Amino acid sequence: MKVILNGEPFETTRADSVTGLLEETGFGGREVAVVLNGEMIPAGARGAYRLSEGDHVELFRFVAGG
Amino acid sequence: MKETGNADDSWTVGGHRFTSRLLMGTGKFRDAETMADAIQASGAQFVTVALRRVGGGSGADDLLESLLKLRGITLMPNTSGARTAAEAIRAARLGRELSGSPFVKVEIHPDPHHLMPDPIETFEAARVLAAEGFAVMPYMPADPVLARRLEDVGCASLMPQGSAIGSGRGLATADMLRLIVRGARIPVIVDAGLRAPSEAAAALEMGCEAVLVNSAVAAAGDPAAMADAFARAVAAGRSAFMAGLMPRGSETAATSTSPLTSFLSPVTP
Repeated sequence: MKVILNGEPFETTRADSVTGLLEETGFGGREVAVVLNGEMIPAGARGAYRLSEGDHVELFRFVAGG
Repeated sequence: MKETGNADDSWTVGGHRFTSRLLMGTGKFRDAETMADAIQASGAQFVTVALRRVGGGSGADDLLESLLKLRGITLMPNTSGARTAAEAIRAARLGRELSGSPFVKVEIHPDPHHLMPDPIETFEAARVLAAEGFAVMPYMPADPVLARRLEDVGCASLMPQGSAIGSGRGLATADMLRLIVRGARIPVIVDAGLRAPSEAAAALEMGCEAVLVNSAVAAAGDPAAMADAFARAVAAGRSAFMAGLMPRGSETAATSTSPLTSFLSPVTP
């Protein structure tokens, strides 16, 4: 299934949920905020969100800043 | 740094009590270890972080890990990168999801040349986020009228600039800062522009509750030593404010501290 991950096309091999996508991309268990098609998905609810072809997924994290 | 002065002299913002009056940014440090050492030396309990899209695989991934090793640190996500209120509101919500902290430093500067905060977008974002329950700490122009308006919509503190971000120009806005402090019923924290610890002391002496520094420490020759120097200066400035400064005299008049009797003059009969 192809999704748009942070603006770039990404072919998932096995992930059909937000949690699965995070694991596949190496962000499982990491501190990231997830936005699916413009909607923020709270960490506790990620497993319940299925992915569909063409979904837009954005991942955010903290970086150094003043 | 070692506790100096009155241990009960804490301050409160957004329902949280802090004893340190030095807030630290986490940007521009050489590496995560230097940053962590400097924050520890500063005694800061409140540190800012920024939010970005994942990608590029930079070492900044380790940032949060380094910060969380330090005990008693409250994270304040900023909204840097936002050019409008809508973008800042979105960034604030993402930051809260990541930090679990109600604090947000609203920071909206559309022009990368001077990084001056946009007062109108800042006000609008602050209004919406305060209504959503955020403890809003707006980075703002040093404008006492805007300060009152931001306080009226429920901001937790005011963070007027001393001078432009990263400029090291010190308290260029000192007169306006005094007006803000005089009118404010919420903590005033000078944010941006500081270079020397003496400037931080001056901000506390005029009644500001705290200061936020980043470049002054991160770009110093020895960041941890500079962080310690800022911590001492902030403590000294606060002590001076609490002690009550003597009134300022006129430029031309001096007032002797010793009796001005002319006892050394020849006594003429």
